[in-house]
Amino acid sequence: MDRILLKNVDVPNIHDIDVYMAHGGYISLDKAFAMDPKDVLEEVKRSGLRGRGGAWFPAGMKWQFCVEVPKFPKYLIANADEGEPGTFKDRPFLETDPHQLIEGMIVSAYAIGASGGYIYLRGEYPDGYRTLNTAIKQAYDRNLLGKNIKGTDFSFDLTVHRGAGAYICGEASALIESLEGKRGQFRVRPPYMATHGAFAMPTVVNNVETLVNVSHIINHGADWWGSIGTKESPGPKVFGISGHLNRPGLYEEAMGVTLRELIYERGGGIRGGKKLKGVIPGGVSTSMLTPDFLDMKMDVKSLQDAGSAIGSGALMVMDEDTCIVHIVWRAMAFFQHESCGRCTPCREGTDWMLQILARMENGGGRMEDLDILADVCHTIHHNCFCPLGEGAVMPVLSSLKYFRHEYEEHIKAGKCPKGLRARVRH
Amino acid sequence: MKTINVVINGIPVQLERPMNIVEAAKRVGIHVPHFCYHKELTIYAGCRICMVEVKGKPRPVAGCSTIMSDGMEVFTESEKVIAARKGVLELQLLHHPLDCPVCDKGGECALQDYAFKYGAAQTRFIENKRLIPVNYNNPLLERNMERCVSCKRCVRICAEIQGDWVLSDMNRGSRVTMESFCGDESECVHCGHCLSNCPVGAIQSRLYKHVGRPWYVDTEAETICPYCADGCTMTLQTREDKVLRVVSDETYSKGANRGSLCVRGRFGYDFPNSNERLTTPLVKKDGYFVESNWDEAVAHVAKRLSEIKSAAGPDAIGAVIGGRNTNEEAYLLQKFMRTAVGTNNIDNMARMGHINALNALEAAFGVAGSTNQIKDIAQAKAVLLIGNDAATENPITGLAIKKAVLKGGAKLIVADAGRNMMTKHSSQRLTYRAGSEGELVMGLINAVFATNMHDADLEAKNTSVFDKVRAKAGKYTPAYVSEKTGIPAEDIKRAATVFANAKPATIVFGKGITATADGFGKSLALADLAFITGNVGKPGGGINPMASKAGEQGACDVGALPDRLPGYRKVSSAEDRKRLGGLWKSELPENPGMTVGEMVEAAGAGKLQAMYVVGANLAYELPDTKNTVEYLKKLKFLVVHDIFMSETAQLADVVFPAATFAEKSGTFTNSERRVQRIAPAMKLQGGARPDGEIIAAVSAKMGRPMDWEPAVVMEKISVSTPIYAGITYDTLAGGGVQWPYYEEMKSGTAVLHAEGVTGRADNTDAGVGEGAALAGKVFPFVADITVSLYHSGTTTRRTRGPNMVVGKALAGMNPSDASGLGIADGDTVVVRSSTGELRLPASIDKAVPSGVVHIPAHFADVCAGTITGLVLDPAGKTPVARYWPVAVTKA
Ligand SMILES: Cc1cc2nc3c(=O)[nH]c(=O)nc-3n(C[C@H](O)[C@H](O)[C@H](O)COP(=O)(O)O)c2cc1C
Ligand code: SF4
Ligand code: SF4
Ligand code: SF4
Ligand code: FES
Repeated sequence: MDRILLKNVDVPNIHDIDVYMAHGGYISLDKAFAMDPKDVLEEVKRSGLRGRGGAWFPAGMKWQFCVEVPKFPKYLIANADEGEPGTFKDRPFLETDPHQLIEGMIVSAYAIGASGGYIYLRGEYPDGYRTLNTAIKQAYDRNLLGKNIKGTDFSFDLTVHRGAGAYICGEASALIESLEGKRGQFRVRPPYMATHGAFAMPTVVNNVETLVNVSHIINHGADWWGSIGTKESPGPKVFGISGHLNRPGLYEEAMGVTLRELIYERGGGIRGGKKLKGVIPGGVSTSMLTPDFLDMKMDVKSLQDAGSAIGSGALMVMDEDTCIVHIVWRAMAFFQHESCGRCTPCREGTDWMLQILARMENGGGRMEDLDILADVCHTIHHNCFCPLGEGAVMPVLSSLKYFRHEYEEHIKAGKCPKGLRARVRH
Repeated sequence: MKTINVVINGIPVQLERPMNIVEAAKRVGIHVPHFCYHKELTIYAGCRICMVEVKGKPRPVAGCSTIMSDGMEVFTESEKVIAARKGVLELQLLHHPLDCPVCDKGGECALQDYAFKYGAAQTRFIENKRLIPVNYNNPLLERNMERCVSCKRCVRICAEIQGDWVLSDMNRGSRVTMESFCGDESECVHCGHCLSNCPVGAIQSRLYKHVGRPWYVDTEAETICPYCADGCTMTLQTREDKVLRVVSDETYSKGANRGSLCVRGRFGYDFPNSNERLTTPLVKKDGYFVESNWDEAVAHVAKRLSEIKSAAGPDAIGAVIGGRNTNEEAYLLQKFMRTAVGTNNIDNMARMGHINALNALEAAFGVAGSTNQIKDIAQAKAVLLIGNDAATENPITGLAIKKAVLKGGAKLIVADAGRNMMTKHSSQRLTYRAGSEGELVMGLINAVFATNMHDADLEAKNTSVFDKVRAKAGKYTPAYVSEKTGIPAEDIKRAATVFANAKPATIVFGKGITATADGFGKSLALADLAFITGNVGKPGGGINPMASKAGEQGACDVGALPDRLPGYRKVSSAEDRKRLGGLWKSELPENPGMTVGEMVEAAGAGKLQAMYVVGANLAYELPDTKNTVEYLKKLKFLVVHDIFMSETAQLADVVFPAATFAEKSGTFTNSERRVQRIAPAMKLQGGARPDGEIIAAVSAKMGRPMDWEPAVVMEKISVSTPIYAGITYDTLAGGGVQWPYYEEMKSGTAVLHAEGVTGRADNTDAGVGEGAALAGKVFPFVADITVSLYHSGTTTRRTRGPNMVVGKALAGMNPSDASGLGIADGDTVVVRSSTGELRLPASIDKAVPSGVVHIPAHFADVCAGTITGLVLDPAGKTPVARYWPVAVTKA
């Protein structure tokens, strides 16, 4: 597939507005402004664009809810928190080609009727912060942002807000809490964000990549855009593939590319010619899969059928020498650290599981620990307050399903067969 | 709204409004376990113990955050639910220290209860438990985070109800602890909301630590807090006649306070058991007290009073009742004075200020009481809080104001000459020069008229009243008022605009108005402001005067006043005297009596020869301590009832040991006219007796026996006191009644004058006087003498709790004033006035306006009366002693 979203990432100085415009940047604004906002929204709806942040909610529908609420101002927020281990696919639009995001946001804001915009940026992206701010300033200077953009009635202000290093703040409602200066935690719903989002006003939160796609939809039409990829998950997608590969990195593919293509063609196969043990297909909060799934298409439905999720499209590849218990322990260390502490199941459950996994990796595992792990996962999954907890159990549950023998080997041997150890906090 | 039909555990339930599953289940007596849910707080949905099964949903849902919709079918104890609860509890208990045997919450702990019901017998946890040191940053509370279930109720109640934001959930994940940011609890007001609201034993009272167990309580009485005039409902728990603790209403529904208390009520409870309590009647012989017995002492008092009465006439005898006595006691004392003695020389300590407010409201609207109720201040869209620090003096009214601001988005205008702890909630703070409060109020009225923001419809119906008020306010232009008060003219206009445009808007005021010169006229001006803006008779509007002590309003209501009979009937009215005289079978004296200040002056002049003082510490509470003591010493005979050997009792010839509120029955009437019952939680301590019983005994000895049992007295009050008609102990059961009570509707009156105001009295021409600047060359500061949140006089000096927080008097000073005088925090300063001086440590406090020294009025060793003089305001004869010019130097 020809690159669409990453087309210009290798163009020198594409972060500069002149270079960007020389490469066809910001023309979607003219197209959009010539249309009624309703028609822009209609076009996006027709394209079938689904959110790229992990939940794959239809973008047009989310916008529609917000448009229907007669309260102003409305806000559009680009979710650039990108906190999930394995995920780095939004980075090019934050650090290299920022105008593509700004352009997408302006068009989207026009369709929604939003007058205020925020880019909620992962705190650990300092380069992105500088790049985005410079780009925003350039856009203001050209009247592409601010009052009466390009002489129209439409005004839109855009601000970059840096996160403070909490994964949960990537979740849309926690993001808004954090943006408002509060502790980043999931919000009780209702009220919903379409009516009471940021500062209690109607708000749309979209992933960076979702918004980037919008200007392409407007430029080339919903039909063209919708023809890419599969019917239920159309469009191009940036896959971030990492792990034991010869060529890890970002690859833009049409939705529906197979796992095998991603690993063996784009990624250049497993490093050192080793065998594949398994993959985590969409970021650590998605279930691991085995090589049996190599011919599976990377789209929403196929991954769901496989008992996993496409998530953010962050594919992590593990070779045959990987210790699964170690990987799961490492994933749990992340979730334990990131659990916000609000709800009992996730707060206590992730902590307990982390302790059990570390003990197991270090030789103190017992068979009954496997039951405890399964029970705790069940308790969290059924009873936790927000999706972070639900995601936290996925590595454990899926590894118990596909790699139970590795746990048993640890327990029987009284040590990690690969000789690894888990660092234990005190 | 259409009813919602749901099914809970097979029981069909009809709901008239949408509600969550926990509340809906409660309707049919089903308890859904919960930790973090609390009906008064925002939904948190964190603890996850409330999981229930909803038919058709694959996973359990949280009962607290799920609103029931039509047709919903819920199971609260199904197999799935129990499995979920077991799972959550197992996690909840992982790190719990399981130290129930030494935890004061044992026996009333939600975690313990749920663990019994759903928990596993044994934990599967074999790792190390989290160890968190107990947090002792708070003088009254311990925070034990090993026991915490992270429900965040403490944090939320501190923010959402108390409005003080002391606590936060620090850190995240399994490292979360509930504590103050950086350990700084300096904003804590020790209300104990967090303590009472913690479902487990993670927050404990240091006073109650290892004192008792719930099943130790042998007597429990729902009663009324004896401190301020908010009149909080609370429960006193005792064992073997010792107070164990005070607990607040768990249903958050009763009385004016609805579950809230302040530090005084919640922690100031141990004075009834103080070993300084008086236990036996004392009679002074040759300058020394000698222990006597009741018969002898009563006979002696009756004899001496009779002697003086026959020698010098009944008007040579006067009586005063304090602010902590019950309505019944006040009633008995005034009846005793008017019948057995035969004089109108009877007064009560509302004379220190509140009486001005009552007289003014009566003059303006015909009723001597607050027009509204405390609770519905929360509905106001603007609040003018003037001359009252609601957060300190009457904290429950303060909570209602905070609720208006925090929940209702109301604008709060805080007007004060001194420090005011409500300022942090205000949208506008007006700091006027002490003494110019009247000009400010007049300026607001002027501004309202000038911009036609008054209620024009009302004006059409009340032209003459409006004309009068308009004329009175004429000269108070913003420029003039600005010069007098020191407040920029723009700010005055802005405040007037905010107040006049908010519907409804309400006024809350207190001693900063009433205890100053022209307190009557100033109170009247506030009443006029409420009236011309159309706020009288509206819920959430009106005007709320704040009495200082629990018994003040009631003592006035039942006639412990020299010019008024019960129910504010005038002594000068022959008809009323006749009616009451008929009831009491006595001819009532017709000359109005003396107020407390006049009595003391008359004692000094030798005109008053005997005084009968019940529960009032005149030698401490009145201004000009030196002369007051001198004058009282001149009395031929002084009788004092008190629970402690107060400064006044020391001067007495006979001292009767009185019972505290914890040992007796009776009623208090709070600032909102709510008559409420107190009930004994212990036997009489030592040899103490209720004041009413003592008064009746003396009266009987003087030939006029009276019933003193409180319930009987209340029946008599309801007959003799028109505003208390229909009020009996039966009607008071279940939360008290705001007088007037309407038998037909079985209810009191929350909002007075809802049908409009009828007629004004003829003394409504009173002005606000000239607020001449108090501070001058010699005495460049103004002492602002006011109450502290932690103290209340004689009683709190003998309580541990409040003294653990604030144990000594400090002179609050603005940092710039202090640095100008080379005074550092903690330095001893001399506060000197024309009458005397005080030495006390300075506390540098930027909340104190420049030019003001803040002096607390309750500490034994620092008596504020030392630096004030006895000046009686002509209208109400109230001592003018709220502000006093002083000089401050470093000692
Ligand atoms: C724990 C958690 C973390 C998340 N982190 C991100 C993130 O970093 N970036 C993102 O775009 N969406 C993230 N999401 C998803 C957002 O909640 C939200 O669904 C998304 O921003 C919506 O945008 P979209 O519809 O364009 O995908 C996260 C969700 C959860 C539960
Ligand atoms: S699942 Fe619970 S503890 Fe975990 S992040 Fe969400 S709310 Fe916080
Ligand atoms: S005692 Fe009151 S003010 Fe202090 S932390 Fe608790 S709730 Fe907050
Ligand atoms: S201290 Fe008590 S109220 Fe506060 S979070 Fe812990 S358990 Fe809840
Ligand atoms: S009571 Fe529902 S989650 Fe705590």
